[in-house]
Parts: sequence; structure tokens; C-alpha cells
Amino acid sequence: MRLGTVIGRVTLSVRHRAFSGERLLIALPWGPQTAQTGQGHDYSIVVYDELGANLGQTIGISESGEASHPFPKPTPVDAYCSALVDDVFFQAEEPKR
Amino acid sequence: MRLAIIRGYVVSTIKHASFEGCRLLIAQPVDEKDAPDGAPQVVIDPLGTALHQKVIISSDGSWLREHLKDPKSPGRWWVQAIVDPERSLAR
Repeated sequence: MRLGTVIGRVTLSVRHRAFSGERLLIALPWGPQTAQTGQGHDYSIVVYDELGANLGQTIGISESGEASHPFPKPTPVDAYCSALVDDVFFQAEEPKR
Repeated sequence: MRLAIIRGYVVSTIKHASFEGCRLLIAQPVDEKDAPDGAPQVVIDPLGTALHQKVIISSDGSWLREHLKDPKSPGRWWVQAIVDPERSLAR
């Protein structure tokens, strides 16, 4: 699960039959430097959301085969919002003693 | 399986039901010189790892689904082992 920041939403007009009532977000996955600097995101991805993430919110993104596991039927989903993150504690280096 | 260092943790109230009660840590994958290598991953920690400990994280989602007792869990990465810092051969 990678962390990501929600920057937008996607609305579909024509969709795969497995998608109905879907909610799709555009999210910027965090890179190695993002937790410290707020910069250096990876390329944006579309994320399937069932939890109701808001714009600007930090989310946990499950990717690859695991992203389609929560669905009752086979669904072509490659990125799934599996957690709404309230708080992130990140320390890039161990403090000197 | 990748070498990683635990660099933080995540607090999440609303999450997939299978993650209820799990520790969610941020693991930074590292190379042989402990330099960051790739995006940090949120991992499930069944071992009780401390901050800044070096670990092996595994992408075996099927073991995790068995551990969480939920075949529909979207979890993938978890802490498989803690590296002994005094016996590591990498220089």
C-alpha cells in the first residue's frame, strides 16, 4: 500500500459493465522524499474509492492484484483506496544520541 | 522480499475492515547502503517492530489474507522479519 494525495475526481460516461456507481479519484502517490518535503510525487494514477476520500486528503492505495480483491465479482481495478489517513508520523533519519 | 527501514506510522480511522486492529507502519525500501530505493510502503506489522529498525518486507498477499482471516483484504506488504543489526554482512 502506497500513500497518496487526492487531487481530483473522474466521472465516466461509458464504463465496463463491472463498474456501476463507482467513485474514481485522481491521486498523486508519494515518492521517497514526499513525507519530508511535500514534493517529489510519482505520476498521478486513478484510484477506485469506496470509503469517500475528499480532495486534498491523504489515502492508502492498494495496487496490483490485491486492488481487485475486495470486489465480489472479478473487476478490472488496479488501484484501490483502502484507508483514509488521518495522520502520518514520518522520521527520515534516526535521531543522534 | 525487500530490505526496508521503518520510518514512521500511519493513523487511519476509516479503512478496509480487514485492517481493523492492525499496526500500519511506513517502511522505506533501501538498497545495500541503506539509501532509499523506491516509494515508501504502508505495511502491516504482525511482529511489533520499532521505529528505525531494519526489516524484510514481503509482498505475499496470500499469506496476509490468511493472517487477517479475510480473503477479500486488499493488503499486500507486511513485515516478515527483523534484521539483526550486529550480524548483517552488507557493507
